[in-house]
Amino acid sequence: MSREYKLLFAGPMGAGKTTAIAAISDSAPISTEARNTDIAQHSKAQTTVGFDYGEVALEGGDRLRLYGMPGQSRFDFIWKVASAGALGVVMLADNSRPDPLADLSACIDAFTELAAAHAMVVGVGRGGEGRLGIDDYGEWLAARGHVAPVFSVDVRRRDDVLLLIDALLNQIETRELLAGTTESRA
Amino acid sequence: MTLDTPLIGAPGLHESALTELLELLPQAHSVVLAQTDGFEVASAMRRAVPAARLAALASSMLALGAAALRELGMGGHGNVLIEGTDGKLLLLEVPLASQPLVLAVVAGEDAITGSLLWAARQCVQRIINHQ
Ligand SMILES: Nc1nc2c(ncn2[C@@H]2O[C@H](COP(=O)(O)OP(=O)(O)O)[C@@H](O)[C@H]2O)c(=O)[nH]1
Ligand SMILES: [Mg+2]
Repeated sequence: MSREYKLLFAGPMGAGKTTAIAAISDSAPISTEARNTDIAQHSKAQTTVGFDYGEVALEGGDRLRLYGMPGQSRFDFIWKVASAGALGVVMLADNSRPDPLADLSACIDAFTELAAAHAMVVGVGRGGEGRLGIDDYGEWLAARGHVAPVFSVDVRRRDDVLLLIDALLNQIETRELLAGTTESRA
Repeated sequence: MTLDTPLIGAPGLHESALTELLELLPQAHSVVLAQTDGFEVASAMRRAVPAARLAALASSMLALGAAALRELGMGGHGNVLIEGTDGKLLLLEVPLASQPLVLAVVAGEDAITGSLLWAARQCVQRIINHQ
């Protein structure tokens, strides 16, 4: 029985959502990049203003439909629209930022409902470039009531992104087994 | 938007182009000019709309429209028209090389689509000529 998983990539601007989807999508993702003028926030040239969309066919016939969110809260209407029907969220953080947890805090709340009902994993990028360790993220999340495994990743590497996806799918499956909702499988 | 953000053109000139659009088309009640990354540049309105919000929405929708066109092999540039039961929203590209912009025109449901398009295109041309 094959199944489709709609998954979101969320997190602050520049954390690597667009990069992550491009790293694993079977074909070139649909992109909505616009020229970034908010250089104070992040120096990158392009920023996502709609959403990224990529697909991955898994062994066994399951398919992933991946949506990369814009990071800035002025685009929070996209977060809401895209959350409908999603089964999990990969939250990315950028450890090289001056205050990575504050950046995370600004967008994680919008996905707590999705995370609580389904699944969330956290990927911390540039782990070696900041003063926080993976444990600091874990503690911060736990203190806010989030249940999410945290991984140190470089989303430019396909295997790292697949690791996040794997953890997310495991979480989805575990929760469904616990909730006895296996009949919802297509 | 921060002080580091480049200010494109003279806002006063943009505003006069927007005001002219409202004068040209009585059924249009608000118009917002935004950068393609969603920041408001200028606005003019007879009826208040959340301009900063509309600026972000307009940039998203135009980008999604362009993505759809690219996907279909129909170029990557176009406009978006949303016809609601209580009004119309038209989004036009303003293809400035220095800083591409989006023009969002909010009009009543009684606005004739052709007139709306024509007036909005005039406005885009004025903005380009001002550069
Ligand atoms: N040096 C380094 N660069 C990274 C790492 N992860 C992501 N990047 C880069 O950071 C940028 C992230 O941009 P983007 O994917 O557009 O971020 P988004 O705003 O989250 O979509 C890209 O240029 C990536 O190549 C990392 O672990 N190390
Ligand atoms: Mg992006």
